[in-house]
Amino acid sequence: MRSRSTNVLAPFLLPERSHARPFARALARFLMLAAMPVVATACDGAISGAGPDDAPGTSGLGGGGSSASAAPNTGDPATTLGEATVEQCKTVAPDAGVSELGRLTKDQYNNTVSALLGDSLTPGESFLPDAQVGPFPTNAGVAVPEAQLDKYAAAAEAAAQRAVKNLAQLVPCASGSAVDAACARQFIETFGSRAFRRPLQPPEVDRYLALFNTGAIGRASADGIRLVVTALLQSPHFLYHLEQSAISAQDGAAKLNEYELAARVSYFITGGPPDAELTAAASQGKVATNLATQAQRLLGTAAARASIERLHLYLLGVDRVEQLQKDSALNPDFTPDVAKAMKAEAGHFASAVIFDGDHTLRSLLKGSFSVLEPALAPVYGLSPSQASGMVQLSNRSGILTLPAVLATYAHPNQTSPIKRGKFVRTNLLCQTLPTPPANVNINPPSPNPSLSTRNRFTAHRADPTCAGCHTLLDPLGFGFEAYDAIGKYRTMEGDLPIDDSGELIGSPEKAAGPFKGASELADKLLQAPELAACVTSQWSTFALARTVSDRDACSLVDIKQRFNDSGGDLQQLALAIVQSQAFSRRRAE
Amino acid sequence: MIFLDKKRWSRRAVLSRFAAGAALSPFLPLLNSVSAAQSAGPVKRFVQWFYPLGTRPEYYFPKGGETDFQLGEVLSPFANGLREDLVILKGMYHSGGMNEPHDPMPAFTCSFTENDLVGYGPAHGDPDVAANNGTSIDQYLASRMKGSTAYPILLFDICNNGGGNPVYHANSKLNHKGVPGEGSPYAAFDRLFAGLVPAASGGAPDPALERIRAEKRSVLDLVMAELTTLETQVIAAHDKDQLQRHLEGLRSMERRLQNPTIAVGEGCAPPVVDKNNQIDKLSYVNMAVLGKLQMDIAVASLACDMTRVVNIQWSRPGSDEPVPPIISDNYHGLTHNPADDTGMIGAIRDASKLFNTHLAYFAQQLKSRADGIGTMLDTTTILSNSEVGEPNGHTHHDVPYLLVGGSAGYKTGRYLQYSKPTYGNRLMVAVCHALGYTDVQRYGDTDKIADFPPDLKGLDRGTGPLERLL
Repeated sequence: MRSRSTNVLAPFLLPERSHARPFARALARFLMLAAMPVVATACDGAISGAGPDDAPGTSGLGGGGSSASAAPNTGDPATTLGEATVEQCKTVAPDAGVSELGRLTKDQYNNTVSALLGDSLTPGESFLPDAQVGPFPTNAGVAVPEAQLDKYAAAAEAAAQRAVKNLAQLVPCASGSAVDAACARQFIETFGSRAFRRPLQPPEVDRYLALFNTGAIGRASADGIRLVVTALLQSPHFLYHLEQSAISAQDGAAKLNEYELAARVSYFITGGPPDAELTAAASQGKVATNLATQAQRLLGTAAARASIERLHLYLLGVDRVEQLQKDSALNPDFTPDVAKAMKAEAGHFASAVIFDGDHTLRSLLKGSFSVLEPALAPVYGLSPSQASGMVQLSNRSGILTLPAVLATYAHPNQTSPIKRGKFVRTNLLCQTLPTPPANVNINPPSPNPSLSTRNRFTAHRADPTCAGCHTLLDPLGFGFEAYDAIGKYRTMEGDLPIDDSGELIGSPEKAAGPFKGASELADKLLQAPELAACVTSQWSTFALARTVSDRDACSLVDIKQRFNDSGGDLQQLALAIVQSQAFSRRRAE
Repeated sequence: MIFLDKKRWSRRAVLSRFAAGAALSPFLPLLNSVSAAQSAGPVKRFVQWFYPLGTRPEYYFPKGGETDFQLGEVLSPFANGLREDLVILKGMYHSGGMNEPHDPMPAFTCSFTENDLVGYGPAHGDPDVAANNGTSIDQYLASRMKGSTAYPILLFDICNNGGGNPVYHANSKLNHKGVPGEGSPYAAFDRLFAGLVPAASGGAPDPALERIRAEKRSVLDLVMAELTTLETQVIAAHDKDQLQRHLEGLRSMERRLQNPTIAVGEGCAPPVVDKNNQIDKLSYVNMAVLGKLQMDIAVASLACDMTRVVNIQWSRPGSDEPVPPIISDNYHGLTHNPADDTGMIGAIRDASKLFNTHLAYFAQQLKSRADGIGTMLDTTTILSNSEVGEPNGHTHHDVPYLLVGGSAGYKTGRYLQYSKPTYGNRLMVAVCHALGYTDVQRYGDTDKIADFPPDLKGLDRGTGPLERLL
């Protein structure tokens, strides 16, 4: 019993603000109830709240739970939610949740240095781990560890050292190896503004010019430039996502300025700093007014593909495939190369749908193709020459049957209907389930040649302690039985034929019922508004790099509405997010 | 970069150097006469030591009384020469605010902070509440000692690289946020020792090195000036706090530049780390080797007085990872076996014994180095613990709090049994007192526990140092 918990039902609700904002509170409650049919009541009645879990994908719209007064919405959730809340939100002033100061993540650091210096090294790899929000890395609200400062210093010194080796490229106004004062100033203004993602103030330029002189006087100009670059790469204006536009005394919120907005949209879509065109737009005051156009343009870049691929690796929870331990006697094909290729495939499949295909959530769940590397040939039962590039596949259904997903949600020596069922509920539906109680055997039943996985896992549900929750998980996971512990398609389990019929029991109501195999499960999930709500929440969390809160409720309603109206187009989802009120605003506290 | 001053070879030089450092800050008020009388001088160093998933009480706790105890199997690695350096504590509770056994998580986050966990935090779908409540004792003591050494604290992780949020799984916490440790012994070595070069002979500084230092100082000055300005510009307290901590970190970097030599002498030498044959820090097969490297670096950093607070974390709370050669798969999963599974019981016993074998090695390294009239172990308090008592039951009682060393601050060679539930809060207060911070009277959440089982509900966790220890 989690009696200390304040309100696990409604992540949108921040209790300390509930009196000041009764409407937001009511709205959030309404949203939660409509969007999140009760999960936990179907679990063991003793566990009333939706408990925590170590699975990703539980921020934002995540949650579930029960409340005596919480009658599930009886109407069509999609329609009711959309009309009612859009109507209610019309009377709500634009708002956004609190953005705590964020520091570049390891990926962002690498991308930013690379954009500045064309340096392909990735010093971020050796940095201390990023913090997370939901499944996504972010350092918002987390103080920089002291040991990390030494790493920043070492990375900056090394990068600057390399950069000045080609002085002509770094400092176009240099005359041979000489950089005069005017040229140094010009370099600081141009390079500095790229490092800070905004123009430098005159006193800032002077400060860096003084540093240039410190390094250069009596020595080579390159030394002065090297010092300037070293300092810029350790500056808080470089390391942090600083948003300093004035907070309105009236409502405590601020609209981001042009440069801040440009940085937000760029780091969301490309994982790196604004490019020249976006920066030029900011200098002309044309970002806010052309946000969708700019975002659409960025979606066409290679960096966007890489960024959206990373988003999916985190969202699916498959960023650690290479660290999975598999029983090598049972799964001889699971080599380090194969694991690496699986991870790459998961990203490439998502980007193929979102950038090359029809962009839709339906294809993400239903696509009967993938983007393969020859290393994956044994997993797919193809020849190496067949397993290359875009390949049409039978018996596959999008992200649900990616080997990276199926291998992650499996045991070393057998499949795991439990993990796979939980994956669907937590990662794709943003539901949370309680952790198993102590003193309960959570080890999977051992493989047994005379019993199918289905039979063995069904037996453990005979225990009433387990049945409450496992009714939600196991029958759902049985639908994946046609794929083994590393995601190979199979029709037999030893001498026993595979039965991949499954059932989604309980919520979401629209998806409930029996199905056969992953593809039919995809059809069911696509009928549930909870799926789009969860995807909306996940993407918004990634884009904002913070937990979504009650102040973002109307933004999320709007984003989800637009996502649904577009027919589940994931590029349109990205555009709806950047055009939302929350995206272009911030609240300091 | 720190410069190694090979000229300063003698013990006297070491001591005088350290004395100069100590004069910079009001470090260590004199301890009370009882502790000061005992041996080498006051306790001046603290090591926080964590290993995952508890132990088996029947194999962990000694038999016998306060001084005539016989070590159990799990602590047997200390039998050979370290028994008299232990204070084994029985009857200690984690102050985790929720029921066992339903909810294993609170204890995980309360180790060393002694704060109730009110929820699980945003990373776990619980945005209303702060995970990782509080500040752990290592960070607290580091903040008290700030300025006395080159590094306020050094954190070493050993195979803490499982899934999930690595910060959440950190046992070092500052203001409710986890502080990640360094997982690579090679990176740790580089940071601490790679830049060491002999100081020039005859007292004349090497101009090239002086130039590098001057450059670093110029860069640092600029960045610190920017941070100082920024700090006045941001509005939110949490943002200001971040910038202040950044600035503090740079100040200690600045101190290292201003005072760049360490004295090499008795007990202080750079550790041996073979950078040409690096092993994979992600691989659990390497756990013992990685651990030894990290421990050797930690000992050297203490012996050279580069820091006085060290955190060593093996794996992580609730570890789903192996402990070779004892547990080849998921340790956490294994602990969920049926309660009477003798294989599981043996594995928990052996894994916790393995972690204590490492701890004994670490303690022995300190014991082999002189400090004053005693050894470095006398003047170092190592506090070891895990996130649970017994992992199969996720118990919060009889957690394996263990003190190794620190005889300058309290009498060691003892087995202290507390018959009523005794909370870690007062142990933390006692540790602070042993290190000279006698102004500390409470640590963590010391009020009544609302959500504990009926038999414990309403117990005050208390203030003041733990009885009988000091």
